[in-house]
Formats: sequence, C-alpha cells, structure tokens
Amino acid sequence: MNAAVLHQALHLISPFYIVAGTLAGYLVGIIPGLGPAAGITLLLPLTYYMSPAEALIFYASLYQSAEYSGSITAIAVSTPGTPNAAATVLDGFAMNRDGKIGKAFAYSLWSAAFASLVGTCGMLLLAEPMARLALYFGPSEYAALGIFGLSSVSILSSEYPLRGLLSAVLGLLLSTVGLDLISGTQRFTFGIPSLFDGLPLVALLTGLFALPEAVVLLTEKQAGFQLDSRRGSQAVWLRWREFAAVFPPMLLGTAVGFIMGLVPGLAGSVPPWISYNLARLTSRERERFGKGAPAGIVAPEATNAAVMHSTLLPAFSFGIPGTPTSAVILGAMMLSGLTPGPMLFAEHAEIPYAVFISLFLATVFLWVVGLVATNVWVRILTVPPELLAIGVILFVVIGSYVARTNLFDPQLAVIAGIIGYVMKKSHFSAPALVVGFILGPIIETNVRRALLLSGGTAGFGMPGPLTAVLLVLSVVMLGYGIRQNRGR
Amino acid sequence: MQPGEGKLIGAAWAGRAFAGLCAIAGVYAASVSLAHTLHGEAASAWLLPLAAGALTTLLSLWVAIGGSEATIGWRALGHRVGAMALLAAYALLLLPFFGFLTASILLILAIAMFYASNRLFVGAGGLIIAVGMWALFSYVLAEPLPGGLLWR
Repeated sequence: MNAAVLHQALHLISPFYIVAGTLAGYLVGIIPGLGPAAGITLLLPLTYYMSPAEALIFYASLYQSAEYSGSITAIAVSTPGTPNAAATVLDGFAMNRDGKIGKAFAYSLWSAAFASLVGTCGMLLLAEPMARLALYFGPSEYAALGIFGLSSVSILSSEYPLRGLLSAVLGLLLSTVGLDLISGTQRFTFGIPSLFDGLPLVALLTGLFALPEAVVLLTEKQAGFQLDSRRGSQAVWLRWREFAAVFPPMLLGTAVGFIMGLVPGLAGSVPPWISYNLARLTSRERERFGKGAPAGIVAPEATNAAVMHSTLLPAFSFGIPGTPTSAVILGAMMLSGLTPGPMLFAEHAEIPYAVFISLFLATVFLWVVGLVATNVWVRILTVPPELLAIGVILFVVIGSYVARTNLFDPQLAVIAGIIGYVMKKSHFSAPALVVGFILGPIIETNVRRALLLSGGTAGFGMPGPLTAVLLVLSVVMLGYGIRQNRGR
Repeated sequence: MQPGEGKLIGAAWAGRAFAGLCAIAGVYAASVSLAHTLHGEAASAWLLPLAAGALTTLLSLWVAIGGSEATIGWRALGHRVGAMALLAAYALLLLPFFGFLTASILLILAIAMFYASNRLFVGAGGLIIAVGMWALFSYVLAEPLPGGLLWR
C-alpha cells in the first residue's frame, strides 16, 4: 500500500458506519439463529443508500461484532447466538453458573478484540500479496479455484455432505437463470420480465437466510429466555494477571482461526472446537475444562474472531468466498458495482484498505461497547421471539421490495424462505446454495473464457499444474464427502 | 415425545420430497439445455445449465434413496406448516390485494392470535413496528411501499 492509497483510504473511513455496523452486529449476533449472514442479508438493501466503501465498512463491522456477540448468548443462557459460539457454551455458561458472568463476558470480549486486531494486521499484510498472486491465475485456474471452493464449502460446512453438495449444485443451476450476458440467450426465464436480470440477489438471500429463522422464532421458541437476575450486573473487566494467564491459548486460538479461515470451507463451526481441544491438550489444568476454565472461553472466541478476518482475504483478493457470510459480502460488493478479486486492488485499492483500517476502529468500538453495555445487550434476549419474527418478516419484505420496487421480489423472497425452511429442517444447506449461486457466474465465465483461449478444452485437456492440483483437491473433497455420507 | 405432541412421524418424506423436486428441476434444466444445444444455439451458453442440471438430477436421486432420521410430532408439524402457509398467503394474496400496511396488520394479528404467548404485547409491538416502518419508508425515505389492488 503506497502513501496515496493510504491517504485515499483514510478519507473513505466513515465512523458513522463503523458504529452502526458494530451495533447492528451486536444485535443480530445475540439473537439465536440470526447470525452475521442473516443480519447482513436483512440489511443488504441499505447498500443502495451507501457508497461502496461505506457499505463494505458497515457489513464488515457488522460481521465482526456479530461473530463476537454470539458468545454473549452462549454465556448468558447456554444457547449460542451463532453456531460458531457453541464451544463457548461449555466453559462460558459454567463460569456464569459459578456467579462469574462478568468475568466470562470479559474473557470472551478481550480475546475477540485481541484476535480481531491481529486478524486485521494479517489482512493488511496479506491482502495485496494475495491479490498479486491472483493475477497469475488464468481462466482455467480461476474456474478450478471456484470449483474447489464450491466443493469444499458444500462438503465441509454441512452435517450431511451429499445434501450440502446437492444444495451447492442447485445454487449453480439457479445462477444460470436470466439473460446470458455473452450470447444474449434467455435461460429459464419463462418469459417473466422480472427474471431477465436473473434471480434477484437480495430477495433470494433474505428469503433463504432470514425467513427460515423467523419461522423458527415463531414455531419453536414459545417464550423469551429467562435471565438470572440474582447475579445483577458485573464489571466486564480483566486484570493484567488474568489477561496474561490466558494469553497463550488466546494466541493459539488466533493462529488456528487465521490459518483455517484462509482455506475455503474450513471456516465455520469446526475451527473453534479444534482450538478448544488444542487449548485443553496444552493446558496444565485440563480437568477444569468444561467447568469454567478461562482458556476454554478465550481459545474458541479468539478463533472465531480470527476466522472472520481471514475468510475475507480470499473473498477480497480472489473473489472466492470461503463462508456463506463472505459470499453475502461479495454479493454486497457486486450490488455496489465493485468486482471482487485482483482488479479490486488494481482499480480501487483504497476501498479494501479503508475497510481493513475501519476494522481496527470497529474493534476498539466493539471492545468499549462490550465493556459498558454487555449487561444491557443481554436484555434483548427477553424480547418475545414472535415480535422479533415479525420484525424479520417485515424487514425481508421491505428490503426485497425497495431493491427494485417490484412486488415480484418479496413474493420470491417468501417462496425462497419456505424452501429455505424445508431445506433447514431436512438437513440441506441453504448457505451452500448461496455460495453456489454467487460462485456460479465466476465459474461459468472463466470456463467459457478458458474454452475460447484453449480452442475447446478449457485448459482441462492438458491442465496447468495449479489447475490440476485444484481439480484433484476438488475430487478428493468430493470423495471425502461421499465417504462421510455413508449411512445418512 | 412431549405430552400433547401426538403420534411421531418420520420426517424423511420432507427430505425426499425436496430431493424429488430438485430431481424434476434437474431433469428439466438438463433436457432444455440439451434441446437448445442440439438446435444450434450457442453451446457455451447452455454448458453450465446442462452440467448443473445433470448433477442435480444425479445427486437428488442419490439423496432421495437415502432418508432422514428426523422426526416431528403432528401438532408441531401443523404449527410449522401453518406458519409457512401464513407467510405464503401474506406475500402472494394479501400484499398484492391490500398493499403493505393493511396486509402487514392482518399478518401481525394472525401471528399474535395463533403464535404468540403474550398476544397483546406481540400484537401491539408488531403494529408499532409495521406502522413505524411504513411511515419511515413512505415519508422519510420517500420509498413508497407496495400498494394494493383494493386499497393502499
């Protein structure tokens, strides 16, 4: 990053969107089921009212704080606010039961803030080299990377790998609806003008991610959570000695998270469990794990925060999402008129750097809000879930409508929501479908470019070494998925 | 089984039904793509739909042969199907005919009546949210929300 880019990036930083994104992230992370992907999709229509840099700063800040605030619910009521906070329940809730809820919140908050700062440094250092590396990728390598990303996300992010894969392929199929941009051919539009531009992204995302959670809130939770009011409000603070004692597992969790987040598909609910187990194995007090061990909170929470940062790296640098949330952020980039990948750094380098620098400020704000207001945020859990569901439904309908002021879109969102709910309940993967939908055009465009350049073999007849490696890895991933799927 | 849940039924049908629908979509996509390709249209435009359609069919059949061990009670099933039917009625019938505000009020009343444990609180809170959002978009952001065929 040169001085001119830094100067431009600093001008793009918007404190308002950092604050708004962080607060919105707290809200969606605390409510069990919503999480960062659903939260960003709910607010995706706001993209039309923001500049590209403001939109990305807002969504990145939201993503960061939602990943953290899922732990507040895990500690307070033993239910993870996001699936990634599941490992935090074990020791976080145990510490709460011991009457030390403030300390549990503090361990979670401080480790998330530390890992976020380290993760942001990693983004600043690695983003441009990765984008430069991406420039060496030709169309066949890009297509193979897309196929690898799709196969790994669909297989590794789903409990039922074959259903995850089917969902991803269905996403690919849905991405072909609309006018083909190269030949102008109409594909699966059925003569409906609203489909000429393809399935509307906002309606599809909000429907698939947010509406199923509204149905869950309506039908599966009949009352708000009961909070233990006897404990009162406790300070969310760590003394120096307490911080130093958990520093090694915090560092371990950060490293595990940052490395795993770089590989498409590996991020998600698995890395926190890996770092939890590593922290337990390397601890002198193994027997305390599960009974309120501070290391059992800081390791998974640091991992969650670091994963969030490193998953954005392949999304920004290569244009390949490693998680459903980064796929949604890629969607937001496209809505803003930006093309994710190496050209983003070549043409608008100031925007990704503005986002990375904003994440530093968002981390500080996240930490301050956590210190002073965690005990207030917890009160959100007492709001009746039916009221939250009404808010989500109305947001989905309005959000999908204002994107194109077309009634077709909210109707499609509701149909997508019903399909998403059926998928959720029958172990299919709506996130894999979304990743397939986002990656579809990337894979298709690059395969067709490779076909043109290679005279019909797409480079797959005699693939280059990188294409071959990525395709072999994809096949290995598929084989692993099929093997894992036995008996399901 | 919870008291009052009724007889437990296998939910494997939900996964199989969804896989079956995917298989039909896959066969349709693959056959349409093949037909267009054979009729001389740009083959590259139909390459991905053909491949994705064929893969969808194959995977759907594979999944449909398997099953799911998930179970659900009749009452809970009715509760969930009812919620989805309510959403579908809201989007496909109420919104086009009555417009956003009236349709949303009807939806909120139905949710408060059939799904809320604290009807008054949820109903009143929901109405405040709906009217607040409608006023925000219509008057502050100048983004009129959908009007209905019968009244706005």
